[in-house]
Amino acid sequence: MTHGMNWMRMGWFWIALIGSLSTWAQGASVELSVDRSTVMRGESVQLTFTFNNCDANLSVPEITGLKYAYGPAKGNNISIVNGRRSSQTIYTYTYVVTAENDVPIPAYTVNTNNGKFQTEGFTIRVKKSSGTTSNQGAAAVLEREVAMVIDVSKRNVVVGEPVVATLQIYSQMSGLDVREYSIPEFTGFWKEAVDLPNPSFEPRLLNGRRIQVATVGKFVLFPQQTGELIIDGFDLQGYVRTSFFNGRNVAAAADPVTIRVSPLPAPVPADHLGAFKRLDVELKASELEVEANQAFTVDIAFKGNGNLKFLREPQWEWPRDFEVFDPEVKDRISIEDAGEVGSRTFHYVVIPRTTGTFTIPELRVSWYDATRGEHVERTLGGESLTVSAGNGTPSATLSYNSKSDIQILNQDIRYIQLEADRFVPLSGGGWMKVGLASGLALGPLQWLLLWAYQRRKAAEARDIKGTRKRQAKSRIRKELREAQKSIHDPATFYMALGHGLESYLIAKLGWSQSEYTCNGALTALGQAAPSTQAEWKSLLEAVDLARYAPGAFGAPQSLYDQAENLVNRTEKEWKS
Amino acid sequence: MEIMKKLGMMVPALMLANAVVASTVETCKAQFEAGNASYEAGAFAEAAEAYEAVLAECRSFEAEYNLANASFKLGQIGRSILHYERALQLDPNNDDARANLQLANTKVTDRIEPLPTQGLRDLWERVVAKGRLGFWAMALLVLWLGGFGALSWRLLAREEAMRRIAAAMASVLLALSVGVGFLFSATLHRDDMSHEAVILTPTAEIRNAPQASNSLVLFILHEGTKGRILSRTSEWIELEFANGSVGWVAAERVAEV
Repeated sequence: MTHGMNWMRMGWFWIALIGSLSTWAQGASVELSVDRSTVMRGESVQLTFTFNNCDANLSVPEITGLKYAYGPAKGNNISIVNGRRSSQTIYTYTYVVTAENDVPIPAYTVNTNNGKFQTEGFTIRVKKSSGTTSNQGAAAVLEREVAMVIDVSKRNVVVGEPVVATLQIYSQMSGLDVREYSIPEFTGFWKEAVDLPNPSFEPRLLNGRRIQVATVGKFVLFPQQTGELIIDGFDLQGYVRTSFFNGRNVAAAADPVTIRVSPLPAPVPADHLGAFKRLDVELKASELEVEANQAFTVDIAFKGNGNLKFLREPQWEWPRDFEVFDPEVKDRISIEDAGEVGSRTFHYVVIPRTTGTFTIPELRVSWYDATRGEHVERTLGGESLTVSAGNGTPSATLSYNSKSDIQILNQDIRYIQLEADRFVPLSGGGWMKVGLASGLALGPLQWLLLWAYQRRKAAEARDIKGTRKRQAKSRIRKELREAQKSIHDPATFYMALGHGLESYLIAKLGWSQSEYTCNGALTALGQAAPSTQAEWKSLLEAVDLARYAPGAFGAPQSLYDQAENLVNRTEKEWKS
Repeated sequence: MEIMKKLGMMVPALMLANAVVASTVETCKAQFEAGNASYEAGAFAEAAEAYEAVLAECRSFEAEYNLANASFKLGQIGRSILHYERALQLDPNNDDARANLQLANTKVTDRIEPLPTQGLRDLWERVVAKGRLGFWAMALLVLWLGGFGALSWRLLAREEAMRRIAAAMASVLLALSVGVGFLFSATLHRDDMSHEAVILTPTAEIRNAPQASNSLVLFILHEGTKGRILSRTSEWIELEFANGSVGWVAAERVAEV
């Protein structure tokens, strides 16, 4: 690039040189040249008049678009070759470019001591500033001995549109020692720093004055919010040497710069990527005719100038017949004076799992083109893609079973209960409480009954005679019932009846079997139940006779009834 | 003889009561099926009326659940949450009711972060849910009778080892029956007096005192939000919400679960 520029400069130089040689006289000539053919506004340019074998008194040329700075610087050169003498006198004038557009250098007619010569006119091309707006702000700093300048490429932008901010230190003193300076926070911006060489002061002409300028930082800024964003905080602490032994501290602060950030113009299309100074997007598939289960690649490349690092993976839905892996992101992004330029490529590996003819799914993207000031919409994809079975893949469809999450399309409550068999009438609740109370009472009740029974049994075990007395009636009744069963068998009947009556009396008297005699029992009856004594005597004798002569008594039933009545009467009387 | 006479009179009374119960159950079943038919036809308002008629006569998980579904379909989120809660009182482990209640709760405007202890309270609410009453009653009866049965066994047992085993069994069973009796009592108490209420109106002002004037509006809640009843007057109910906030709401704006 630099090499090319040099050739360009040389070309202009020779054009000027050849043009100036319109007049020849005794080997004398006048040439007009410029040190560079392309300049930027605010920069200096040097015009050089070269007098060969002649000389003249020149006044400062007035050129529209250039402001005289200083000069001329004069130089002489005399040479003698083979006895012939030749001389060359050079006058160099320094100007500052003040014009916005190209500056025409007119043809000059010069009266010299060796004749009249005319130079050829030419044009100095003034290039628009690419990174920085102008040096208007910088020119204002000439009022200060040290000035901090925040120079921005644009002051009215939309959200996300890149802005280049240049941080410069201007000093009119040559002995400035920068001790410390601060970089602005750039609140509200996403910033990317441009790589710069180590900062150093370089001479520069500013409105015709020589000034030292150091660029200490350059940033590409992406505004992230709307409104007026202020950039400030670019401060310096330094020391200026005024003499060999003396000096003083100096401080300077940059004037705040306000960037007005507007929202993206409405309506903002769907799938919007943001604002870019320039952007282009391209989709490229490695193959459009592939075999099943054979991978191919699809690249989506975003190229341009803007915040490319903010680009996220596009939302791209492929049919379920394709397995699509997460993309590899390839960046070729550099931060330059012009902004964040380069490309970001999403590299997809895709494997078709079924055969057939498909189309690459469409991908819609849109962005705001800050250069054109409008939204741009693009649709990618849609190319036809043929997937064949290929060799050795007889059943491509069944070779792979991919699984994916179920997509919830709608959500609703579960359905009603279709059958019910648990209807409990509200009025019927009392029965449960009654049933429960009864059931609960049953436990202690049965235990109490059992306990009482046990106690009674224990008491009976302790008082055998008493128990036998109490049980005498029930025993005689039992024995009488047994006897009645054999009433048609007199021998057995009278035996059982006699045994039952004896047992009754033994029990009532509390005697043992060995203590029992008929007379003894009748005597005891005479005391306990005297009214029954006589009847007991006749009954016992009758039964005793019947046991030995059963046939003598023809009516066992009457004897049975008599025994039963007698026992009942005895019980009543004995009690009292 | 007197007792026998009384018992003899009870038999026809029991039979009559049984016939009345059977008739009520049949009516409830018919109304329930009518409600299902309306629901399937998309007539959710008619379905809701039929289910309400069922619930006026009978207690039924299915009717509560279906009424909640019909209310949800009618956009009455508060009423649907109320009836899902009531359904879960009757069958605390029903998955359908839980899932639908969860979905209905997503429609509630108020988001209340529950206090850390809420989990224990939820567990307790499930243990003493209305639907547990029959279970606790049966468990109480079985344990109680089993305990006294073991005591009786102890009386009858002749060997000392058996008597000891019977005594140990009786102790365990009767102790368990006391615990279960406590749970039965808590469930019965809950059955008699509800402990939660759901807001049914679109908005409800929660005040610091049970009066419309001379009280501050603490916050405003929306339809479907549930709170625990702390106390009540004739026209106001004091509620505690899941995040611990407490305030009074007009009784007409809520329904008790």
